[in-house]
Amino acid sequence: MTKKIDKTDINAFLGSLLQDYALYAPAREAKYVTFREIHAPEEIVWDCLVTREPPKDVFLPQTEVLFSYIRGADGVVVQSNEAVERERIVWGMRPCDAQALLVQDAVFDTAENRDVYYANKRAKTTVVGIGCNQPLSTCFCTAVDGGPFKKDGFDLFLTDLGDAYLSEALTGKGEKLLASPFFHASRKADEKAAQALEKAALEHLPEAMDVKTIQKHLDELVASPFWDEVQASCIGCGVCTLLCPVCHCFDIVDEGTAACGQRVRNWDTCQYCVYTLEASGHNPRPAGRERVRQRLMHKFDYYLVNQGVLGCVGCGRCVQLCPVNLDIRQIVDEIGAAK
Amino acid sequence: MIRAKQAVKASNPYLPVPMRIENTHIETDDNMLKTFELAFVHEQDAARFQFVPGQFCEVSVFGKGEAPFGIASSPTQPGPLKFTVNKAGVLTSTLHSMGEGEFVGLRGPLGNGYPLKTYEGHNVVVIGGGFAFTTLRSLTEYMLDKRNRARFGEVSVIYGARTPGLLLYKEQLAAWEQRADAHVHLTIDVAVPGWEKLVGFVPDIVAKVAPSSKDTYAVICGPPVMIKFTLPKLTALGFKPEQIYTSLERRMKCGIGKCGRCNIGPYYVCKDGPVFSYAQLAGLPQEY
Repeated sequence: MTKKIDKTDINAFLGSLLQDYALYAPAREAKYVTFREIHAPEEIVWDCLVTREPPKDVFLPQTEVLFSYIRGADGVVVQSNEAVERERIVWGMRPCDAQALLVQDAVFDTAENRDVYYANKRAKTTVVGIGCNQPLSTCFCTAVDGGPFKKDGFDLFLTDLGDAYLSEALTGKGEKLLASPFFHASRKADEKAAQALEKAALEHLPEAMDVKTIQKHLDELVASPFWDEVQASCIGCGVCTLLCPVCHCFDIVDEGTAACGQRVRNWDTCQYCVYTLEASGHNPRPAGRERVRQRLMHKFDYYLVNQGVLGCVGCGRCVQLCPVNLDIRQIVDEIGAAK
Repeated sequence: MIRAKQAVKASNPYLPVPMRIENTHIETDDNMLKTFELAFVHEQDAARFQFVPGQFCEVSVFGKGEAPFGIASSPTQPGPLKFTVNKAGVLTSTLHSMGEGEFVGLRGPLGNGYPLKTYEGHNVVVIGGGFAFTTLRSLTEYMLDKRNRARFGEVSVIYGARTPGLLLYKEQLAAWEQRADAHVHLTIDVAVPGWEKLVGFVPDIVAKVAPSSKDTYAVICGPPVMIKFTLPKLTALGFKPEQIYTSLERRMKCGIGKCGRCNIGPYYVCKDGPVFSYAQLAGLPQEY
């Protein structure tokens, strides 16, 4: 079902949602715009295409208590932190970040060994997306199976028509939001306007990559000096992975004593040398060469093998934020062209 | 109330169950390797725990974290689970300081064990070096158990350490040596007075013992340098990559394929391994 909501009504509508839902949206935090919980609609930053932090934090917090433990008479009693009480809405997610969410679903929400911390949050969340009328120069979603108006993963999808948002419900959760009296009927002309916006946006975006060739070349390049060149300028800061919406690696640590404390998981990155360092001193990925190779091969090879999807969604955060201007698009082009 | 708690436990793969340390035993004369016998505190946790040789568990030392250890006992033996731990880092040093009656946590069994069905009806050569003999002990015990012995062909063990005092499971090895249905070859790197068994590095002993590759699987665990030099000897004896199995270790956290730390190519050592054949590992980055 498709309706529309006037921009003059949007804050009143969002205000009504705040009564029943925890609302996460792009909002300012210090100098940056990031997805965080908001308490007033005015906090939302509407014109930010690529937030500094991806919305993955809503489902996989940067730091998260898994359980607390306390020593008892017959061992240790653990109390899990997996329950999610409140319904949530993520408002204004971009199609690339939603595509990343679907990749994370395939990792965490599995039939066997289901990650209940992630899955419980996901089940309680309605995801509202918004199309990208004016993609950035760092955007390349169309190169990696995405698109500026791709609706996969959303419950409700908005298109900015200038004075109103065309609003399409894609699931029951979306229909529920659309039932609000703030939405009214849309017209044929609105749909046409949305199509024109998508067409215009696509003109700024690249063609699809030849994924099959890239994957094949990656398998052949395992032992190649190519990786020495790629890693030469990398300083191993890890920003490309920590702020990647797809990357999901984490560390698990205990905070506390033997008697009581909590077990916590924290985002981690394969770009740090300690990531694979073993207590014996042995490190299976001892240098930048192996770590850079791991990042590229995970995204453009291993995800395809295990989850059937690419591990890159073209959001361009790693391109924007790399302190030495490494550009994954260029690296992938070189892989594709490798002999 | 108790039931509800257990239902949560069964569905949350991150929650450990409590284990009591029943016994500890120092294995090596450098005091670096200690075997811990862990018993389930709750009967229902014990009943749920079914494993095959080669699987591992995440052991919680509360306040320090978790680390993966292969199960050294065999499912054919009733009683506590055995884990042999090398004192190497913060967690294992703390564990070494713990004794009988203290509590740890356990998640598992995790990963895939040795493919016993594949090995059945064939000869098996178990090759180990140093302290990488824990799940090999489990496998050998399993095959030599009277209920299983007839299902396997010849069982051979080639096991080496730097010195006699660094061999694990000395009583077990002595018992296997007494058996007519097992061939046990123990070796040390350099001759010492009183040692009357083999002397030499494991790769050379493999070449000397020269197990036939016909209808045979080789299962090899040990330090990387031992494996590096043993593989060509096995190849020279006619073993194909699909006849050679190993069990790999990596710095793991979740143990269930989520945290992303232990991949080798598209495989996660935790959930796709830790047991791999060399046919599976061919062409992948040698990140192990």
